[in-house]
Amino acid sequence: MNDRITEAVVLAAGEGRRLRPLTTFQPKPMLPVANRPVVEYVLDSLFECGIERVVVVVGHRADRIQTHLSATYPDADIDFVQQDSRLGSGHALLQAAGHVHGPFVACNGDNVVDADIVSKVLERFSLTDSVATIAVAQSDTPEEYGVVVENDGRISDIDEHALDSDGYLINAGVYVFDTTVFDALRRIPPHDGEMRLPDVVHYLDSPVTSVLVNGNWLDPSHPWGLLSVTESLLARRHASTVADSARIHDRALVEEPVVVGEDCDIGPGAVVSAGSCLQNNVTVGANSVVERSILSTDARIGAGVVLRDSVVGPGAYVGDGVISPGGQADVILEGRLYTDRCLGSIVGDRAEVGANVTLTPGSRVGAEAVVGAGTVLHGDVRERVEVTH
Amino acid sequence: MCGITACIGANDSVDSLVDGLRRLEYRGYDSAGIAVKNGRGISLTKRVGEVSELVAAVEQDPIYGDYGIGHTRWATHGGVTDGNAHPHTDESEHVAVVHNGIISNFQSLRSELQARGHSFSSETDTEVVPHLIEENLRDGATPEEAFRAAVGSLSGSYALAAIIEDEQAIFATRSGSPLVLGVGDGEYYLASDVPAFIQHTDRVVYLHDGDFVVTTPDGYDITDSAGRPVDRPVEYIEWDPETATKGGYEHYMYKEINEQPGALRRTTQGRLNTHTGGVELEEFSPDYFADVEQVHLIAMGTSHHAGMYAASLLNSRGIPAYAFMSGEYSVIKPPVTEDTLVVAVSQSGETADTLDAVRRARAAGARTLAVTNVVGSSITRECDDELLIRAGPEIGVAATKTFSSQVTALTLLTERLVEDMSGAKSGEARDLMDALSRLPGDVQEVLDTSTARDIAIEYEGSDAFFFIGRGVAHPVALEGALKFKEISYEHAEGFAASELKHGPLALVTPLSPVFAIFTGHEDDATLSNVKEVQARGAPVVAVTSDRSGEVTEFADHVLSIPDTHPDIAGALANVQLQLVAYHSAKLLERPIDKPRNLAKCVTVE
Repeated sequence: MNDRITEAVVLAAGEGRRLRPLTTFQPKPMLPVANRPVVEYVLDSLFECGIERVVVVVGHRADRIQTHLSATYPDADIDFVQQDSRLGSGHALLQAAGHVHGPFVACNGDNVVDADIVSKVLERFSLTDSVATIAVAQSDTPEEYGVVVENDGRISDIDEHALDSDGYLINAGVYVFDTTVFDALRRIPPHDGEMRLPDVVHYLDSPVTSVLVNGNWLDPSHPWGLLSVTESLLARRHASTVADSARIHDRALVEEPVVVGEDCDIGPGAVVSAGSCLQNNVTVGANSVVERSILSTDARIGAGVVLRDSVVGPGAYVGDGVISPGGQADVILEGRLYTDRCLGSIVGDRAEVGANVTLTPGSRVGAEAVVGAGTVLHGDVRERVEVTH
Repeated sequence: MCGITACIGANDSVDSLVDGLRRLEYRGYDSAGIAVKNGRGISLTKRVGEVSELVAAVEQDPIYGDYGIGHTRWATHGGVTDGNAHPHTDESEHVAVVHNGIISNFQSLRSELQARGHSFSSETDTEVVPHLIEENLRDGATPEEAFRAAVGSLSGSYALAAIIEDEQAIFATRSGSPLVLGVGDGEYYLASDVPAFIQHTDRVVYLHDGDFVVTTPDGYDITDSAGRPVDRPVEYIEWDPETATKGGYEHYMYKEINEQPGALRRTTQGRLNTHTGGVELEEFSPDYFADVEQVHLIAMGTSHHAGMYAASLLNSRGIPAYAFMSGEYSVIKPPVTEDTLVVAVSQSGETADTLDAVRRARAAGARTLAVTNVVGSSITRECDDELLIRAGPEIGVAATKTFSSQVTALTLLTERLVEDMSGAKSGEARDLMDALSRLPGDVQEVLDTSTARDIAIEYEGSDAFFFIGRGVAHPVALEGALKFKEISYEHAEGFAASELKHGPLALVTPLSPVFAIFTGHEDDATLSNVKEVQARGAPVVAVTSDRSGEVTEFADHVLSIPDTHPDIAGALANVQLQLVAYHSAKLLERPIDKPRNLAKCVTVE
């Protein structure tokens, strides 16, 4: 147990259904916050804590994450294992059995996790005689996470779907396990067809310890989370980053802090306000206003467009005069109603939004869908569907 | 055509050598071997087969050494046997040599050596070298003198590395075959290509023809053939060695197909201005090409298809342009003037035929421009100018992302030539630049939505596969067929669509699917060809951006591409054909990254 822990498993197989349509062609860990895929923040933290080898469990749209990580971390020792069936987070971790050789860090690939958190969990694990250590965090929305029942730093239960919670500690999704976890996982009975990782606490032989972490743990699991996490990360950085190859017209206004990627093109009179991110090769037409929005790679924004609190997917086209005014919205995700969320609209990969369309708060345009000119859109347009008013 | 490695100064050389060979397998994989020096002399292990066979042999019967040399072979002289595998030694095993290239006067050297009592244990051209060195040693030469004198009697092309007696050094030289020196901290590497040692160091010295290098654990000396010191700069490798690993993919080829959006972004980064429709190639000063009268594009294989693509673009914009196979260029000797721009296209920058053609063009007074993926490659030194395609390293023998990047870089060059030669941008420059800037995303769309695997399953077991297209789609048809045949071993041919009824139609049967490429230019004519083959019962797979029109109506299957400029549509269609070839070969369980009889870059003529 004195050996330093150098291996980690990153769970990156999930589809991220709550973030549809942005996850139609990309896995959730690849969604950009402050222009970097979430999973990069995770890997950076792991490497900072002395992890030398990472096993990434991939599933949904695995090619995207494999291509990206091997290009971004050319020198790192990264293995990929496939989770072919989506049978839950416990099943995902089980795929890594045989790929790690001693105690290891396990974490979600779709949360921004500070190195501080990882090091605290590692420290707690090494100082106690436990088979597992789990990071817990305080949360004001515990109902959205697994609520942890703990006693003097020992965990007795994690309820992933606690509706009426009296506790306020939640599972932050960062663990250290020893390899007995794989046997314990095999003993978990499936629940609604899924094997859930937090349930493993009941099947481990020895005590499971917890450690309270106060570092930055940011979860962009909902569309508004993607925007707020981006905003927090940009605020932390304080300064804007504009790529050398980006062209910004002399009469465009780019406020700080924002991120503007390679080959972007911001036209005359355009305003890109604080909290916005433009990935690579994004075009923003003349006199358009982009506020607190994320424009993904190859997105094309016409002239005179207003986008607030919105996310535009890769290769999407937003025609001249489109208005997405932003503000408060009531949104239903995976059968659950979320009220008064700060969310404009979401436009999926390669969707086309015609001229002068109004995208009302909370509306979503599916990947490769087409919205005809002049439409006032409420609610959702499904993938590859064409809508006219 | 082979790969060589050498290392000195690292603790145990065996792992470094074997690992380096594995990364050079794209250069050949008939047989592999290493020779290392330890207290007891030279230990040698070599095996027929891939490097994995060598690894198994070394694991079973371990050898150790402080420094050594390694080789992976693609047979030219002598069959594929353990005996013909490198390294080669003299009778006493005091000298071991690895070689890439062809020694053209080996027959006479061999006879002379045999006459003087040397006995040969292989049929290779290489084996003369250790015998020559050994003879010089016997005459009292120092190891370095012996090596130089032996090399002095060789003709042909070679990159050589040798270990000699007890001298703690590696002796190497090159002439016409690639050799690079990797400079680490107290450890030094020599190899045919950078991936062999990139995990140890990113500092590289590109050796020139005629350079001799002696490396010891304390450093290295580079001299010319007369022994005078030469100064070669240490360069840092910028491109990441990402492709040294498969990144979770089953094959490099599939990984590289998936890397195309990123590769194309790098190809175009900072080079196109969608506002003005202008190309910004900072490599060339304003009006650099104003005096050019005609363009020759010389290349082989997939690069030749990219050259044909560019010739089609140039001609349609009023610039006389001709694409030649570089292997034919020196034979047919097309007229070259000082106003001829010769564009040499080679992924590796080491293609022997193309280098040879470049030399001919230069001798005739032409201006030469290299379009290549490899920084510091031979072709960049042979040509007046270079345009890098920036696709990143490609390991799969079947070229994929480099074709896409070549076509893209050549399209940029085309527009620049039009601008310089005519004094104005072509009428469609803006649309074209717009299409190019969309290309990475469009390729991603093809990757996300392709049904190529279904097509591969549908037509598995067909007698033959034909590919047709016109204009820029003609070279894409040839490339589609090349990719298909090289990795699936199935019969595949590409034709200009117009050529079909002048002969090839006789081959068409219900068991020969025809892939027809539509770019949006002259589609009606290609559609008539489709109807001709359908009348003979052949199924037709249309590669098209057409969603609901006549093409979709007539085709049996459609592989969709995003709507784009007709000049760019060919490059997009090609991605669908790459996927068809890949999935077909996979269904047949072919060794996709290492097709039989082929090597990544062909450095012999």
